[in-house]
Amino acid sequence: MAKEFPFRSMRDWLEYLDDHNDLVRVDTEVSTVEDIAAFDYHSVRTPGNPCFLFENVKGYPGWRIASNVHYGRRRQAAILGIDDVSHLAREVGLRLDKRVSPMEVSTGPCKEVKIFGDDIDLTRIPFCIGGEYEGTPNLTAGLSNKMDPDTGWQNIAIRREGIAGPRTFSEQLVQAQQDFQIWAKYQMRGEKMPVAYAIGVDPLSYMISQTKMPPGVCEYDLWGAFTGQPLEVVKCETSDLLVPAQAEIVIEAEIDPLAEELDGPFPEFAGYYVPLTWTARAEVKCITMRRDPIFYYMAMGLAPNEGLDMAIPMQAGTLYNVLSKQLPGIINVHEQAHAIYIVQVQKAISKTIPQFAQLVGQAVKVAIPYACATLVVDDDFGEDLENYFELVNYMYNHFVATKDLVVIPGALGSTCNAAEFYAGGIGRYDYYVMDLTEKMPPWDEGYKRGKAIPGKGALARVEKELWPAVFGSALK
Amino acid sequence: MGKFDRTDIDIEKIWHNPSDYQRINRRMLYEAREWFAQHAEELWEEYKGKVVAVRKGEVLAVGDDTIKMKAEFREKEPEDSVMIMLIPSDPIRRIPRPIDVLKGAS
Ligand SMILES: [Mn+2]
Repeated sequence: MAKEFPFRSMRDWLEYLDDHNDLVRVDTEVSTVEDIAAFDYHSVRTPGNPCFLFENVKGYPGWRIASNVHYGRRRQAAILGIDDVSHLAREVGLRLDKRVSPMEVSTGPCKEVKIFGDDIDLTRIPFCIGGEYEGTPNLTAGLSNKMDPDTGWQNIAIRREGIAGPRTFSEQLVQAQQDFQIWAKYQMRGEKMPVAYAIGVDPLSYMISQTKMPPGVCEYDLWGAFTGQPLEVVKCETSDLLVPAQAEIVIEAEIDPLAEELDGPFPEFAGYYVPLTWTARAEVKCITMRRDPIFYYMAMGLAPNEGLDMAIPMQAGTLYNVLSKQLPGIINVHEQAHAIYIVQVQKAISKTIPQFAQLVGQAVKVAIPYACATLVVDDDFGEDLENYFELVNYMYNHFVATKDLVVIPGALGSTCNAAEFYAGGIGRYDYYVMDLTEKMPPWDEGYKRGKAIPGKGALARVEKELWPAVFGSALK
Repeated sequence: MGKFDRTDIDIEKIWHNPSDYQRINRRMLYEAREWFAQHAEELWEEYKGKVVAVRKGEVLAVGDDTIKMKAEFREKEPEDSVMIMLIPSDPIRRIPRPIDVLKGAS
């Protein structure tokens, strides 16, 4: 029998981090109001990007809050079981065709304590505030589970929910996302939509929730694509929704087909606050938990932040998977910032197929409807698509705006973008594609003169002989 | 038993014996939020473009600076119990529900 996947719960992952001296346990008192978010803000701008377990939370005795534990490619690679950290997105993309249905079990740790009726009270859970213009706390790390009432397909995504009262949440459901389309079905039927927010799930469940699967595919089916084993799930108390059995906390709710709730402002992961907005209202029906639950806070706000960072290899991996089936010569993909993608293609292809970069850009926009921009680069970029200097070199040496830029005016946006035209409910943005590949003749004269770097012979001689002689150790 | 399992913590007991912060401060905050949402359109008419300090049933203060007002109420009221909110000058945004989209089309 195959070795069991080591991180079946968030606790397993915390234990691994702790055993590798990569978890900072904080017994100093911290507040849920901005303190934890500020720790995360500093962490992602500090070498090593420490992650935390806060064990002394003001006003919440007995509660612990974990944070930042999915930040950084090194941790993400360990979660995904991928050794090749520098090609994480491609390696993810290569695994996304496998499906292993989750396995329903009769019970699990998330069912140790059950809270119903008058005992439901969201004041008891240490929801956090991440920014100074956020009036009331938000849940940032809930896997939002919803089911298509016609087909039984369950969709998983991290949504952000506002705590709208002691028993209610607001949840922004926006047009470009699958759960909006599921919600539409319940509205047409005039029925309430069951929803379950799972908090503190195993790290792989968090990560696979960030892929973009086609309608009809449940993201939980991908758990086994990385582990070879099915994810163990349990049925909710008040609906047929399935949630990871090892979750720390599960909040079951119902979204009314008509009732609206006021949501926001919230410091979004794309960088700015989203404003007060009328959106969907979820009423809590039941809370189930471990007896000693650990809460999870996922930092959002101006990048870098954990929420976006964790999504990057999964969204880029989804794009690699989709693009490499449609187009030749796709090497690797990276998400440079929220909804801004870099696709690396083989020069042999991009120099022979006219408008190839434009084709890539169009395919990206179909795969990820809220994509904001796609930058297409070629082999010469090197292996590290996160290399800022190389990107800037490409923007200078591979780009003439009037011919290498394609703009689709007024494309669907994301509602998170501060520069977007809101248009009464649908974000609109000019989607653009920058062709940064080496150009076809006669535009490739300059490249024939060669990259301005020392010769291969000199570089090798310094690396092999002179550098060790001068420094006493090999060039790293 | 895992390293992070804690037999000394029983959430059921904790849940039924909330701290003052949960019982007072956070409850006041959530009730302020609820009341604000119930009266959002009237409040917007009156205070658009302003920062308001809200407690359940009343607007305690009106100003222009969120941070200043936060500091002020941290002194006066139970900590984090008053909701400080910048009210947009534009009408409050509304994401159309599918049902609204269909109504608009008919
Ligand atoms: Mn999906």
